[in-house]
Amino acid sequence: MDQLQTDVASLTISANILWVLIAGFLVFFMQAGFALVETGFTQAKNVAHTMMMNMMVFCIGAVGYWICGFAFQFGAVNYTYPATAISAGQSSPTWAFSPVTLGAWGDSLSTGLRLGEQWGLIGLSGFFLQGVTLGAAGIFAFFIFQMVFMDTAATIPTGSGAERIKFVGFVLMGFWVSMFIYPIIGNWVWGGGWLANLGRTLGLGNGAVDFAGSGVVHMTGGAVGLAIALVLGPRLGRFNKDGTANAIPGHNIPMGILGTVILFFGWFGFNPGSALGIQGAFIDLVSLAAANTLMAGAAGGLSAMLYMWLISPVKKPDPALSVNGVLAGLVAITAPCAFVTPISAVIIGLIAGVLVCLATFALEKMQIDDPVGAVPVHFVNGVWGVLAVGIFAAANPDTAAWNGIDTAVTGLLYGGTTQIAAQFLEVISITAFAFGLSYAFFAVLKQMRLLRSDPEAEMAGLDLPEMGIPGYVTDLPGLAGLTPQAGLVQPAATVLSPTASK
Amino acid sequence: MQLALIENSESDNHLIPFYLRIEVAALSPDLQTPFFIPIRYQHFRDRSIYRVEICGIPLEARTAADLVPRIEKIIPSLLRGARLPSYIFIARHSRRIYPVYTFGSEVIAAITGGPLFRHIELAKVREYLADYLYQTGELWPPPTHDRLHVRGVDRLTLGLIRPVFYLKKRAQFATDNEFWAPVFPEVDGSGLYTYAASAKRAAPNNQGQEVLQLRSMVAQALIADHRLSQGDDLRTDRLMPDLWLQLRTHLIDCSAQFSSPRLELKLYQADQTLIAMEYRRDEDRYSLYFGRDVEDLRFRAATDLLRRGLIPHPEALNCQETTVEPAPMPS
Repeated sequence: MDQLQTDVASLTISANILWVLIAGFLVFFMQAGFALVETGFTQAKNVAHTMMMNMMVFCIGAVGYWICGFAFQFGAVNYTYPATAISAGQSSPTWAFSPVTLGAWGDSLSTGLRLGEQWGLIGLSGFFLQGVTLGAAGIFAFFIFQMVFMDTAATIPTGSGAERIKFVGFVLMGFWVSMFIYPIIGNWVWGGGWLANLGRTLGLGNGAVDFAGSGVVHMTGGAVGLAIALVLGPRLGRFNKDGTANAIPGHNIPMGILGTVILFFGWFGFNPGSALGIQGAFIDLVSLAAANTLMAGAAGGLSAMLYMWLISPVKKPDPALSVNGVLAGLVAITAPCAFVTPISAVIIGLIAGVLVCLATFALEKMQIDDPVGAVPVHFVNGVWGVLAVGIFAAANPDTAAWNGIDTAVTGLLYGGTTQIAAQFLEVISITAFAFGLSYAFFAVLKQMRLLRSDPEAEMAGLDLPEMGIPGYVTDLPGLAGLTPQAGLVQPAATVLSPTASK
Repeated sequence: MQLALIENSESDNHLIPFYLRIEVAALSPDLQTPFFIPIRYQHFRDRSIYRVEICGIPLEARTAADLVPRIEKIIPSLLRGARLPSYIFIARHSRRIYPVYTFGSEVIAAITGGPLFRHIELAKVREYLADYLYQTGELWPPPTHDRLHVRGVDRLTLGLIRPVFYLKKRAQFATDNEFWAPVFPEVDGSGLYTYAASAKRAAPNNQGQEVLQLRSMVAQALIADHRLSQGDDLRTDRLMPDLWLQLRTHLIDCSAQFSSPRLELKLYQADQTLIAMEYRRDEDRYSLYFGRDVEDLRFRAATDLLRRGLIPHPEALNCQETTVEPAPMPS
């Protein structure tokens, strides 16, 4: 009988690890989606540069995260607070933040910097994955899963800086996000840090709750994107002297839409995978998260399309904003996906779709150039997703004991009055930390001439000056100056060289 | 796309020996097709040259047949969204050209690897495009200050058409708007049109009075759009001589003129409005200023002439009486 129990427990952990690995691989594939979306919605002359950023951000981020990112984020994840928990009368006094679904982790990853017992600031063990035994399958699976999450956050700003960022600036940004910005915020919310403990320290609901990272991943990436867009300034010709904006159309709408579908698919690893298990009650979270992800993404796309078609001055079902509506819905449901009902998921998605349109217009008014809409999608809807937990969380019993608080996560609409405060604190702290520090970092890079490409390179396209090869090769050199392909979405070659009669 | 050379059987066939008939199936239904492109012939220093101009792009060859494959390549490169250009901007100094397309009520200029400049008013598109070209160094910046001239594209021959006049309003203070709109004849010659205040404004032919009718229509639209405070701020610039001659028959000569050492502006009256006419000798065009009384008109004209450096100070423009001349009959 004991053997049977042991075998079942082992199988349970194996199944959970397998699920986390599969989910991680799905999230990894999202990188293809990001690459296609960003490249499709930017110009043909920058296609090699944009694609390279989306590939290399993974390589840069993976190494950076392995060096210190994982350690900063989860180096103290096994640290427990039994005394505090007991004094609070909780039934789970040995609560730790390590994913119990993935097996026992021993004493590894339990060192960090904190103020007192509860206010964790940063993890300090696990640098280069040192100290982890080679048989710790759960930790390695967890590392992969978290690394691809970090990669998502690091990819987002490349869209905001697209078409005018120097490649060297991008490389430094990749290390900046993967080694410092993302891991530290991740520590606060998922690594047992001070935001996660707000329930125990200040009595704010279950502390900051962010199931799959509307805040940790998307807000962080969006805030860094906003900082880089502001420091870089707009692309040449993006805004007129009178403040109006000129469209700089993407060169391949099918590429952008295909990328969105890939992202949507990958999101089923992103959100359901964040349950970090599939056995027992975890399958409930997985299925609920999957259904809510599907509905919010669909609702976001629908509301953005209808808003552009019926309400906005454009009066067309704009493909770019419909795409961003889908992504906005997905971003917004990322935090609350396991805590809310499907009806709430649809409402969250519908609002997200409109928010992304309004935010896009607002950015234009403020003359902030964000070529692929990373800020409206990821930052604005990341904020909305984090706050939505505090509003719509339906006291799902499977979420009891979240962050060491015995009660389930409960939002305003279900009688939970303090959860929203924890969510607000998450929004404020992520914004201040990610945006503030990144703005300063990019300002320094700009001063060192490492950030913005030369105007000549920007006009010619970054492919040749920065990458050394064009993204597309035409076999009609004689018509190179004259042969744009028809269609409004395709920027047209217009400069001819005649001696026209006046 | 089908192209065919057709011999010209008219009396001008020594100048235009052929027409090139072009039928483009892919064009939008609102565009007249087929096109008939005149192929001009020149004999110069023992050389025969055939020339053609497609939307401002000049081509030449030894034989008319040699032009055909070149035109066959040019036309697709000019197509955008199943349309050919409605207008062409031409840089004054560099002579580079920038096609402009009309989609519904919007005009759009697109730059390879650059922004899409779109607005209901051509003037705005020109302003946005020029700013971009200054920024990128493609247009010479001040003091050389290259400019973009506008031409219409003839819907039958794909040749360039000069605007018959412009409606213009200068900014009068720091935050004031400028306004500028070229006026073209309708494709069927039934009247004049321009785009202003987000709509097409058209006036049917009326023996020259359509000039003032269109100006008045645009002024009212701009006032309603809060872009113009007084209708007289909008003036008629560079009016074609034939239109001026027609219009003049409807104006009352005031037997007065504004004069300065370098120029004279004759005064006319139309209803309650006073008009000062400046003949622009270098272009053989006529510019009209409008005012409610002599001093108001003098001030408006002097302000513009001062800006153009034609008078040293506003008081240099004086009002003088003249003898009445009979109005010429329109040709």
